Amino acid sequence: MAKTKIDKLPLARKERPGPSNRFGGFDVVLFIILLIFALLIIFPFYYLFVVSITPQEIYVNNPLTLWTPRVTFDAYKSVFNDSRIWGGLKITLILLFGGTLYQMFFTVITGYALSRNNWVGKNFVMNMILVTMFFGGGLIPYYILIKTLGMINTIWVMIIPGAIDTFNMLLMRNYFASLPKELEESAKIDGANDVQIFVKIFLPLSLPMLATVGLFFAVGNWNSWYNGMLFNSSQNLKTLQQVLQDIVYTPSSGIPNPGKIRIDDESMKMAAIFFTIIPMMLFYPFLQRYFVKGIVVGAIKG
Amino acid sequence: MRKKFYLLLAATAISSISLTGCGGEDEQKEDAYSGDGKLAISLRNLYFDDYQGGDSYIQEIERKFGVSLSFESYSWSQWEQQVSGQINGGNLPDVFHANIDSYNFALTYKFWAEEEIIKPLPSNLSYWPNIQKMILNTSNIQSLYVNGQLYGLPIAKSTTDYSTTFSPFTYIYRRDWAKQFGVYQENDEYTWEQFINLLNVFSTQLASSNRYALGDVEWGYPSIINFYKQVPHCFAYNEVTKQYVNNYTTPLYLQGLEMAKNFRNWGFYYPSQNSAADGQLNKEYYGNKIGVLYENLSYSNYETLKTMLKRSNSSNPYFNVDDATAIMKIKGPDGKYALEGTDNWFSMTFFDNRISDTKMYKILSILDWLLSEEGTRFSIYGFEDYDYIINDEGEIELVEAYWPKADDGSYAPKRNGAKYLRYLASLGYDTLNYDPLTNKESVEYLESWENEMKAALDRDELKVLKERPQVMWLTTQLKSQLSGLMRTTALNNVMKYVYGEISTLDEFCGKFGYPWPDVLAEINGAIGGY
Amino acid sequence: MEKLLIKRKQSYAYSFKRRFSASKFLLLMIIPAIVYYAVFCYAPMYGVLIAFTKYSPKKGIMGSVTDNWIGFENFKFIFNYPSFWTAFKNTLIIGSLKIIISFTSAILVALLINELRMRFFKKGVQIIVTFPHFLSWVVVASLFRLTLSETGGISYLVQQLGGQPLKFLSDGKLFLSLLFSSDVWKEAGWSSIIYIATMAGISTDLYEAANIDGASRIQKIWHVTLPGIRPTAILLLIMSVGGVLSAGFDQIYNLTGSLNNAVVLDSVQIIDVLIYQGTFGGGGLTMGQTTAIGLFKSLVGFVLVITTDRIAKLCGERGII
Repeated sequence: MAKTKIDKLPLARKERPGPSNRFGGFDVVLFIILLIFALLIIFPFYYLFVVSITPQEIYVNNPLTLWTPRVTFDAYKSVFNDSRIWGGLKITLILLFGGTLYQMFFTVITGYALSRNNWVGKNFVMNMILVTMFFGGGLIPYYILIKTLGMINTIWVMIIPGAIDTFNMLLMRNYFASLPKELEESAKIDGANDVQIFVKIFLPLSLPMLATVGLFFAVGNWNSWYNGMLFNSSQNLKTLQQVLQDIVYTPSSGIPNPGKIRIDDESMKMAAIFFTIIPMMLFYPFLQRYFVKGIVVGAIKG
Repeated sequence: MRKKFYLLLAATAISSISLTGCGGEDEQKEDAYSGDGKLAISLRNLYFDDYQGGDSYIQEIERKFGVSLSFESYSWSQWEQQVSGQINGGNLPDVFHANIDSYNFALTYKFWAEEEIIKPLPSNLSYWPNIQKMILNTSNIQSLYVNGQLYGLPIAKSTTDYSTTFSPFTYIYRRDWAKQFGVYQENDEYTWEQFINLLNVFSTQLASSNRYALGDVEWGYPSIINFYKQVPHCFAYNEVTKQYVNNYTTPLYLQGLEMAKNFRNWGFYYPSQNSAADGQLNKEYYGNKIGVLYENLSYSNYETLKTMLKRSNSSNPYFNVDDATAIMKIKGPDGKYALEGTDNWFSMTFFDNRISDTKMYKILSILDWLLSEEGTRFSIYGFEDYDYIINDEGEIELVEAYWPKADDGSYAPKRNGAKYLRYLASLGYDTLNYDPLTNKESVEYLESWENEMKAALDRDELKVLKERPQVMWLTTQLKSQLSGLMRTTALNNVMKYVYGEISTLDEFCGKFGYPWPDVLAEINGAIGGY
Repeated sequence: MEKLLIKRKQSYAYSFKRRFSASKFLLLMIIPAIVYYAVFCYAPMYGVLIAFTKYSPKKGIMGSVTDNWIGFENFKFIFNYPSFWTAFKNTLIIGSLKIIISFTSAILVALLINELRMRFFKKGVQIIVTFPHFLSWVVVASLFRLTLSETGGISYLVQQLGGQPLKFLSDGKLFLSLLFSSDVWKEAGWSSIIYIATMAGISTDLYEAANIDGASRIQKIWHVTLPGIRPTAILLLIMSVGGVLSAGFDQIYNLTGSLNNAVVLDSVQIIDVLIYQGTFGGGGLTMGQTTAIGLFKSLVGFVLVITTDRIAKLCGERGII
């Protein structure tokens, strides 16, 4: 009450250099610093792009071209003509959609179960999960496990072991826990069962958080390469990131295969890198608020 | 109830442990046959690249030998990780491929053999005469025997000419620039002074356009020490004391090291040598950015450099690639050429110890056939009377309809699975001469260079850097365990000295404390005075 | 009625059986998680036993445990191994510097964005600075090597202006600064989000009180904003302490071009690099020894988290455990 009163007093308002009423020298300094920081972040991407469309002979003589006098898309043509890239894209898209849905399902139900207080052994399970953030068995037993499960050289090895991501699961749990308890209780009084409460009340309320976690998984799947590298040997199962690494680190070798001379110059490498980040760059500005919202709610309210 | 619940948890945990196969590894792999009775064999090799089988040539081999082959490839940048993962996880393919390097590998190879991870070749190879011949003729093969058995197939570079004594790791340069700047020498032959002069002129002339005089392939840096040192890596032999000594602190090596540092300080070397990614220096060379490149000038690398150089200068109508680039023949301060010694092999095909003898014999039979004249011809030309015919004079004639040509008149690449399969036994340097897909001029050019170097060797004008085999493959305990690490550390220190992270030669020499004296003592104890 | 309800609730709390049956659905939901963690996290944990054996791939883990058990030999070896302690020291230094730098940079960025009064620009900046978080180190390292190597674009510009070539990738100390700055470049924006949100949640009453006292903007930051984010900051700091021994292998691996840059490698020789080289790069360590190093690292990390958590609680802050 008192607050609104003060707000309405013209005198008090004048005295207060509160937010959004004056743009002073301090703001100019802030603006400049942030602008520089933002430019520092943008510059490498821009530069990467310019290099990828600059003809090699121009780039060599003047590597810092802010714009190229002659634009060429040859490098992109070689990228698009490279069957490895499309194979990789196919696998990565499967991971992106299939993998993300699968991971979402298990992570969300686990997060929900751990956000409810009234069940047996919850703390025990929770602690056991936290311990896994610190201890692991190492590579060899993991390899043997994957082999025993028969997942070697299958696409499953890039999906199934990622069922629950502890960090995302905790985000989800914290969000569910932050929703008012009364919701559950009143629904129970109305005769709803546990399944209904979860599906009809909690899930719809958690859409922003579901979006966040989904996006985290999607980015992870887009960048995925390690399990594929270690467990899969078939060319058909390489992800886009694996293909990118094959292009970035080209061997200088003694194989006398006359049928195999590749066109990878610096600009093709840049084009391949740019190709893998462009989808993220296009979508990110529109999705950014979900990432932010989720991480804020999940981390603070928990 | 609570107890029951926790018991349930415990039971899940325990049952999942049993899932991870506590029982150890399978002793034997069962032979698996496909529906039509073909024996399934899995192969993994770095050279398969993205080859996956399925063409008519590989189908012919599968039919002929009653096998069904699956091809998988290692990634260049993760080769060791992938091999190590499969070995430690007990998931080896039937046939696999690993790099051989006396420093890092001697111990690993011995370990694999003694731990029975890899399967020894049958002691009597007379059933596979071509393989037997290949092995008998391979230099330094005795070093690969463990307890009297050979645990894999060294992949021969060539199966007709075994006399490889030096590697084609050498310098290729921009002859057109040399001519342009007036420092070209007849027949691409340079004395040490002329070489330095050329680099000097190059670096002055090129600096304004942001280009550099000299670059080494990533693993070769700093190559110019080759003109000073006597052995490639750690262990030099002192003829006077008859003792093995640390190569890196011999006066000659230090002289070379000082020179390498000068080369950097004088601005000769491409400055980002130390941080270059795999393949970067090649890209810089054919991107017209460096004037002289040290590289493994095998046929494919040479051809790649030429092709790409042509491509990146395609906008210049006066550019003639054969004039623009050539191998540079440099004599060091001692008036001799310097090349690294090599054997006829540098990687090996291994067999999983768990495969049956039947399967191993089958693989050996296939490889033996591929090494025979008939098999070699098949892997190069394909089917007789289809891809090629033998004319009345008994010569091979290609059936043009099955050999499509590219715009420039050369044959378009054509996938022949037999050729990939042959890489398990030989890299086929000897087949380049008649392979329709090769550029004959390049092959001849490289051969003429090789002959010139052989002649120089006879005249004692070529220094071949070679470690003595007795120390190279000596596997005493400390040496086996530490020499890989010693070499890596030493090379790191070399690079640090060149880049000024280590400031004096005294400080450099001080970096060779433990385990150097111990290992040298062990070596001298075992073979000193020999 | 109200009393009755409370009574019922209490009996729930005390009767295990009834609680069990009441939470059937939740228990059902947690089963996949129990199976998942048991199979993929707990089952492989027996692999730490490798640290106590002379590991033989043929015999497998349990085979090595029964036949090749050597007790603490591997630990004795690594504790007497000079490179191990160098790596341990490097890890601690790099890891803690990274924590401090990323902690302060995140708060700084948050303050800058929070204080700025241009809504539109603010949003744009936030999108830009948070983006790099989502890129893999393969990509980020390629970007940095392209722009900042001695032959890269920026170095060229500096030389055109008469300066010396940049040595970020060819000088150990400068490389460390690259390590930290690339970390800030990639993560500062992202880490600032939480602080910005916390700052938004600080009661406006506090600012108004400060206004009445005639505080300047700097003073308000110092006396209101920073104390307002203190609990969050401490929480995040504790959480990051657990990662001090990880010090960013992925980053180092890619920035040094698969650990090939010998000039700078010594200054970033961290535990994970040692393990990697020992396992794959001819570093001369056995599987048992590298597993022992890994186990030691996990233990120290765990102890560090517990300790910081206790200290924070002693100082009256909210811990995490």
